[in-house]
Amino acid sequence: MPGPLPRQKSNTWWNQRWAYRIVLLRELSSVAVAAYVVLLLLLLVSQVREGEGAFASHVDVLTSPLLWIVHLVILAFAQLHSSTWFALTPKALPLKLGGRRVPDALITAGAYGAWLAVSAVVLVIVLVVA
Amino acid sequence: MRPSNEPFFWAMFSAGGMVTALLLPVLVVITGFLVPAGVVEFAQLESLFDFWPVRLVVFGVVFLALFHAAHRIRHTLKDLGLRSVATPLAVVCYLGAIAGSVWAATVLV
Repeated sequence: MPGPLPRQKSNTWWNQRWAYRIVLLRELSSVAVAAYVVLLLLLLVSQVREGEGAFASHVDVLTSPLLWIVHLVILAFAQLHSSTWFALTPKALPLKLGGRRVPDALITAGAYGAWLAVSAVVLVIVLVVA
Repeated sequence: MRPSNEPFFWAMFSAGGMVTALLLPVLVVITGFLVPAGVVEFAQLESLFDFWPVRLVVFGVVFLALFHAAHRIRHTLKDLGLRSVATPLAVVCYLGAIAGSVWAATVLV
């Protein structure tokens, strides 16, 4: 992890070091999160709620190469968000067991375990149960 | 010290950050790739969204993700130089999250 961010004399502080550029990309992942929510509601949830006709008439937008690329970019940012979030989880949620601090790496590993479990459960619900 | 609403927005940022970290990659794979590829079909999506607890969970994820993003975009823009308009910036970001949540609620009811 980079140290504290520099005192902001300029608005281009983020372009001075690779560690800062990555911090900015990490923060920009939130734009991808918001964009994904809008796409999800607009192209999928509202069409599914309106019925098969509405879904069928909008599905070609969802299957267009442009949306494929957009989702690929969103996926990259979503994964950057997950990885950086789990790396910081031990800092935000320090755990003590029996008076001893749980090692940071163990907390991060636990977060990745939860991520795998949640992903598997969602895939099973969507692909098998539904 | 003046009472502050910062802890509330910080808590929403954290909760939304954790929920999106756990859920977003798999959701993007499903809705961005598996649905367009026809692996997940309309009938499956319809049966999922006909079940109200699914709609409630989707609303919760959308709500938290939007507040997470609003908080982070607000502070990133501030750090990139919008310090002189910090208050209107915060209002615009959180109003955006509220508007998105209201939209999600109307779509999901």
